Amino acid sequence: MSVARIGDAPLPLRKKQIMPPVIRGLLWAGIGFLVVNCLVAYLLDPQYGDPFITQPSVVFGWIAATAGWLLGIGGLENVLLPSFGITVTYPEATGWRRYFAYSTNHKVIGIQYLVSSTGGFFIAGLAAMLMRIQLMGDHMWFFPYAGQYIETVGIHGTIMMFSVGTVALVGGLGNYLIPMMIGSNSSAFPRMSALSVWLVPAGIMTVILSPLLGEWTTGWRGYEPLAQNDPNGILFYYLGVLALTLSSLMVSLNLTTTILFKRAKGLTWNRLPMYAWGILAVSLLNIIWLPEIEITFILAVLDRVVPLPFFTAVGSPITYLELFWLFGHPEVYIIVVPAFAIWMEIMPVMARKPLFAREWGIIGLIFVMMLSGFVWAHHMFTNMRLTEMLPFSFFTEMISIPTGFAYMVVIGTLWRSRFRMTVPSLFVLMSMFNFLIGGMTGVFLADPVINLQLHDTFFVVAHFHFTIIGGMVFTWLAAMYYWLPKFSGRMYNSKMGVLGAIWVFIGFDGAFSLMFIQGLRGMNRWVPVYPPYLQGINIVISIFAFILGLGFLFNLIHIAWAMKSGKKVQENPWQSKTLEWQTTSPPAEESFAAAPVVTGSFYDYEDDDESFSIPTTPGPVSM
Amino acid sequence: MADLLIFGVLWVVFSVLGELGVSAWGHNFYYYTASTQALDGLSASVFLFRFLTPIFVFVVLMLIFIPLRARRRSRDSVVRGKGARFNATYVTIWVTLSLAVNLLFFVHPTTSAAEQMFKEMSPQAEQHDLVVDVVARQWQWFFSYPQYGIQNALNANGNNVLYLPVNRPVEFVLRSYDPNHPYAVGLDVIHSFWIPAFGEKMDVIPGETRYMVATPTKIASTETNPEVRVQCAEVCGPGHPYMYATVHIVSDAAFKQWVKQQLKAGN
Amino acid sequence: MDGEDRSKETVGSDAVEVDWSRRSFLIGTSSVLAASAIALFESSNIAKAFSALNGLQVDSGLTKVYQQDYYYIPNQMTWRVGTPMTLHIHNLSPTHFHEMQIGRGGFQRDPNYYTDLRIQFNEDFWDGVPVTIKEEHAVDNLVTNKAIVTSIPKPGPWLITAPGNGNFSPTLRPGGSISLTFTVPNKPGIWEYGCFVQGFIHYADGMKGTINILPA
Repeated sequence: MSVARIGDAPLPLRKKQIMPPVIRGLLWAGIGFLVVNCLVAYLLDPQYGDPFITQPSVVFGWIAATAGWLLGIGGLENVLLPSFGITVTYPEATGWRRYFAYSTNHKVIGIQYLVSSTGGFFIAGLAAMLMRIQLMGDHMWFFPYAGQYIETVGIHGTIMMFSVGTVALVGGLGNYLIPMMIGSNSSAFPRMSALSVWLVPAGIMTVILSPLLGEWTTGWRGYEPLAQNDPNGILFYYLGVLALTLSSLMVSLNLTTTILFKRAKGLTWNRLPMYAWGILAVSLLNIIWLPEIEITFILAVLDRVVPLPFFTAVGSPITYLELFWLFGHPEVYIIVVPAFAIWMEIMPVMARKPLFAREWGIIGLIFVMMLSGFVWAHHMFTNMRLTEMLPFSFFTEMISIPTGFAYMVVIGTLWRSRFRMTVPSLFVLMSMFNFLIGGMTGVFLADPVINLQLHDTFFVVAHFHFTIIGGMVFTWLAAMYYWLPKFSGRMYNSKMGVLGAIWVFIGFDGAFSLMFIQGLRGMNRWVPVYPPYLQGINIVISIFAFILGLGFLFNLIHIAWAMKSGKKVQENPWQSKTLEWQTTSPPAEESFAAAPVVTGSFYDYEDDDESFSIPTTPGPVSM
Repeated sequence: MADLLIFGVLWVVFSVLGELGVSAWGHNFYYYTASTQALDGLSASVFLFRFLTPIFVFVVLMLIFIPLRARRRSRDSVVRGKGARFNATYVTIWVTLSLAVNLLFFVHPTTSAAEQMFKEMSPQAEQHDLVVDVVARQWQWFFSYPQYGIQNALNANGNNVLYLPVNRPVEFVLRSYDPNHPYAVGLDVIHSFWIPAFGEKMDVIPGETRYMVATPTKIASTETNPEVRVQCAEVCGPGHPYMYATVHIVSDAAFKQWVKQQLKAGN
Repeated sequence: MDGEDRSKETVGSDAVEVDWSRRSFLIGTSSVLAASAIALFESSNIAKAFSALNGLQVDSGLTKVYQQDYYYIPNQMTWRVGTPMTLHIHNLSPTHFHEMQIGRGGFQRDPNYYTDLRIQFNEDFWDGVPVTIKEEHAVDNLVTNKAIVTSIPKPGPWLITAPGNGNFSPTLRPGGSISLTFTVPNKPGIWEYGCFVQGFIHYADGMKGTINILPA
């Protein structure tokens, strides 16, 4: 992985011994926390009984810890000092070490995001398994206290939404693929990107360690005024989510600018790959809505620390609900819009057919993005004025139309094609099936009268898991299998891949389709104890959930194994026309030795025209 | 053309099977209904099921049928697929139909069912309702009957209990505060008043008064069917799972009897 | 673009490669993860082990008990029969009221529909014990039950002496405190204390502790 350019004589590299950046970051974070926390808790704002941790001290301590973490990981030499005009030599690490250090290479950053997301996914998944163990009994038997169970639900949801749902397909695959897909060797803001990725582990750790400050019981939404009434752990919820959303915001600024300004010659808007369209749409959503929720969380932190009465019982708790869902519903589309784009990216390649009705696919992505800001209050049918119900119900039902365009495009592409049933295409089909169930059940939830019964029950839990796991996680797996040869130059084992797909499909559909029934039978959310008549189905759901958890683990192991020692394959095993496949696999330090020029559509599999030309291509381009 | 024909036949067959399924089991969508409101919600759901079934069958069949029909025979050579990159008829039908179906759903059942609910909650419709004041606190429900002078309805064990006469509209007046510690506004959080068998729930919000209307249609109780219970549906702290109360829907005579007994007990 | 150029420059011109010890990286990160996991799941056991290491520290004189959501500091105490004590209870929660009952011998239970909640202890520690309230601040109510209570501050309606209101329990508003002076009665053994307010949920959520009363 060392950076030897063609023509350079291999220089004897001088090795410089340093402390591992991650360790330095942790050390500086710890020092920062202790110093600032003690300063606030003992000197600036001592409180009765001289507690070591107070609400203000832990907030300021956390800010210092995060700053210390980012500086220690390499921000000091690469960002802070240079911005004061001091240049310090800070050579990049090589080999596996570069993935655990500051790096401006968009491919390294992409992998760092993917690894953080995967870590978050399995930690939050473990939390889900603990929840399912508890729910096998109708009384408290696994968790000692109900509060701990509800807090586990909150940690599960928070980490899944903010470090997996919004990150894996955008910060992870987006950072890795988007510059390559548009024919650029770097993203627009590599230094910002290099730092933003390290906010993800910081955010995940903050949320996981929140129980140390006390059990918060609000679920992933931090609902007020309960959040003001809960123990202090909720502070780490706000701060952790702040870190995670800041990271996503930086990713979006970076990728939007990259797509706007770094496209290769000839890559017009008409030729822009679908995934780039998806990332553009999702980035605009992020740029509009993430600052909104960040400000809301800052207000909520001030509510506790100052304290102020914005969202307390004597303030306006409903305002928090509105502000949260104003972001919260676009959040759902932040998660699935890139997934739609990946369906439309993978399917023409597998179908060997031009992408059908491409413009309609793009219109769908853009309209979903715009309409998603008009539907938020369908999460609040149980507490809004009656007069507000119908407009939100209307937009909620209408948003299914642009969403359906993704299905129309894919089905049109598949019709009479020469479809290759590979592991990625299997995952995409499964994802489309599951998201369809999520969408169809959404029609019931969009109807206010039905919603008043289904809201806050397991029906809703099942519905949004079908949209998010079904839409996003299945597509994430499809994308990992599809681009695995790109990441590693190696191929997965087909049989294992099919087994993995069927395994998670059975586990997922078994567990979550039964949750619909459970919700209809009167199982409400956030409860570790429930009436005995619900126990039977809960045990079955738990068994399917364990199957699902093991299935994800199986796929993780298979992908990791394939990356390391799968069968070597040619550079472009899918014979795809998009630009990222025209580089070597795995790509070199600089993806393109010379800037490519795009001369046609990437989705024409009908004719033999080259859709691009790469002057002085160093590697073979197999077409 | 053959593809189209086979697909059409399969679609019709599976849609018919689906509709038969909806006819047979659709009324179980709400497991247990004990109010007119639940029946309204149920009929809206069944209507949606009817219309969604052929759509669902269409997409799922496409997702299974096309890949199977179009599976490449040889996996090695790159054979290019045939087919249009645009088909105006297909796109027009798709867009028009999805628009039409969604507009239909918005008109019926969404708006029609909502209008029905608005009508039930109008002041004119509520003149002869039984009024039940519901107070939610962390983590308990209190019920009082101002028309009968019952301050705090309790059962023999001293637990809060809700008694309702059958076939008489009830207006629940929902408030969130702690009657035992009215100074402690820090304890007031959002709860949600839900009786699963009534098919509706309404959030209880500190500082605001909300209303919910229901007309019980069956004589039932929590003991005979656990879906007839008051359950807090919005997470409200570590006691949220324990925040429920028993419900008894009784005959008019039995309700009068119960009122007397409550007044005698000084509740 | 600026950063990209600079990084290239540093790598190219200096030809320095950083290196760090794989061992210290692995040991460092895994020990931080292990410490986090232990802090999350094993903190109570570690606290127990530490207090066991400290040995028996018998409380006497002024003993402070702080209440938080939903726990006590400390949650273990050792008293000795015949010791004069002043128990200072202070509710540090900004939102919740808390109480402190002391008792043993099992629980009275709520015969509720599908859960089984503990209402209070069967045996009340304060039965027949002379107690003096030395000071009070923001007390919601103090049920005296069968304790022999004298109050130095002027008792208000918060002092509930009527029978039938449950065990002896001072209930404090957020920020409230109370000092109780008494001599540890001759009731040796393991006692528990707990908070049963808000529909008995505080106890169900872990707001409890133990007192080991040693014989004189």
